[in-house]
Amino acid sequence: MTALGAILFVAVCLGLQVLVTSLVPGAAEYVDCLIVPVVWFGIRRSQRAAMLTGCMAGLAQDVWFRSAVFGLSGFEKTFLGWILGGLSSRFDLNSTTSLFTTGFMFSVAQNLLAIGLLRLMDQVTVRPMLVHWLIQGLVAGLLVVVGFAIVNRIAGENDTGSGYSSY
Amino acid sequence: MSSPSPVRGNSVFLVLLLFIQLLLMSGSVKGGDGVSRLEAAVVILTSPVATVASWAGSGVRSMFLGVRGTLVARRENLRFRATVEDLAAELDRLKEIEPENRRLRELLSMREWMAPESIGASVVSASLSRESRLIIIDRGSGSGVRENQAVVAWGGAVGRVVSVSPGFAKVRLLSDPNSGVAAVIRHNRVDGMVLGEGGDSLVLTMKYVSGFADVSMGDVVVTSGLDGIFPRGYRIGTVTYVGAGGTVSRDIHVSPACRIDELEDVLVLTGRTAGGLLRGPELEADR
Repeated sequence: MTALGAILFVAVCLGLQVLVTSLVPGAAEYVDCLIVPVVWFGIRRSQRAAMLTGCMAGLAQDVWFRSAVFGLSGFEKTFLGWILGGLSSRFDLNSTTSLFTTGFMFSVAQNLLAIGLLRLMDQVTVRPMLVHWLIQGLVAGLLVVVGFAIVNRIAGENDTGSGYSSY
Repeated sequence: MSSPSPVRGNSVFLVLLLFIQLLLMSGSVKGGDGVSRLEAAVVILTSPVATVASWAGSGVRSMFLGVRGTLVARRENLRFRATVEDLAAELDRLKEIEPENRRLRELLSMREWMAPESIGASVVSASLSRESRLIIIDRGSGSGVRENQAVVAWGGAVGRVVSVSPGFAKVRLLSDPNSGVAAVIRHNRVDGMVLGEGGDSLVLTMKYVSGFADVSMGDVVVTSGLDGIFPRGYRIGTVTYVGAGGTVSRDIHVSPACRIDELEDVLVLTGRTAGGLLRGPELEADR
């Protein structure tokens, strides 16, 4: 998938997120479609691609869905993209369980990072709710699994991937 | 000289990206007016996607709401239709009940004024043939109805009970050929006997009235109470024909006060009212 493909991927996920926000405002806080491209590029492509995708997706998310500090989601997703890219170069994360776990962990880690960064910057934070995070994580895991199935089919890649991603 | 390892290259790239974003965050935290250029650029770049998605979302939402609204409206429509049908049926029932209610009120009023000791009854069937004029009422011996009790209605005298069963009673009307009731011309107290004619005529005949009696058309004929069945004062009808005078008796035709064909409710007089004086509006109105 080329850079243009990555941009399109992020754009589609942004559109989906807007759609979810528009259609089911109450449930939108549990859904983060923009995780999917970062995870996909982290597992199926390079660490650098994951970071760049994370940067794009995060900034878009900051603009449209975050009222807090601009750049926060970008920071989170870039950093997590880097970690994921590194992990996927060492472990095979292409199985459904691994994908679900990755999505889940990505969401939880993102929340933890957000809290940490906001506190570091002396910003107001809301008390974290574990149930909330749990639901977000489960939804993220599900989105990643479904997203991978769809994108793999569109991109014409095997479900199991081509082994570990390159650097 | 060896090229930098990919891991180190990625780390440098990461640091670069994170540094840029830290700068963005710090700018944002400092609370600068408006939005940063990068933020504005991201908005401009992503706004078409967001706009299209928002538009699509609105469309889907509108469609969903429209479909849901249609379904709800359809369901409500069905419910309202059912309600309207129920109400129409209820209205029909009330329309049916209203005249009955009115009749019963009249009956009650009639009973209070005309015959305190009486039993209200409804006409079950009527036989108005040439040979017999009778009605069947829905009260019988079980309700205290006995033979030869007088039956009256709001208009006046109706007839008398001729046979009784536990749940029903047969009433011979004044217009029956075998019927007769002691009567009096109200304004001059001239006695006579009102008999039924039968046949095609519904008119009653008053007989045994002196040929010299002062009777004229329009005179009101009421029961005299002398027959031991009807109490005094119940209207029988009005004189519609007076035969030639100067003889022993004269023929007088009386039009019945009660329209038998419209009769629906009657009172069976149960007390010893024969020969008594009617206290009801009939007398008061007549005076």
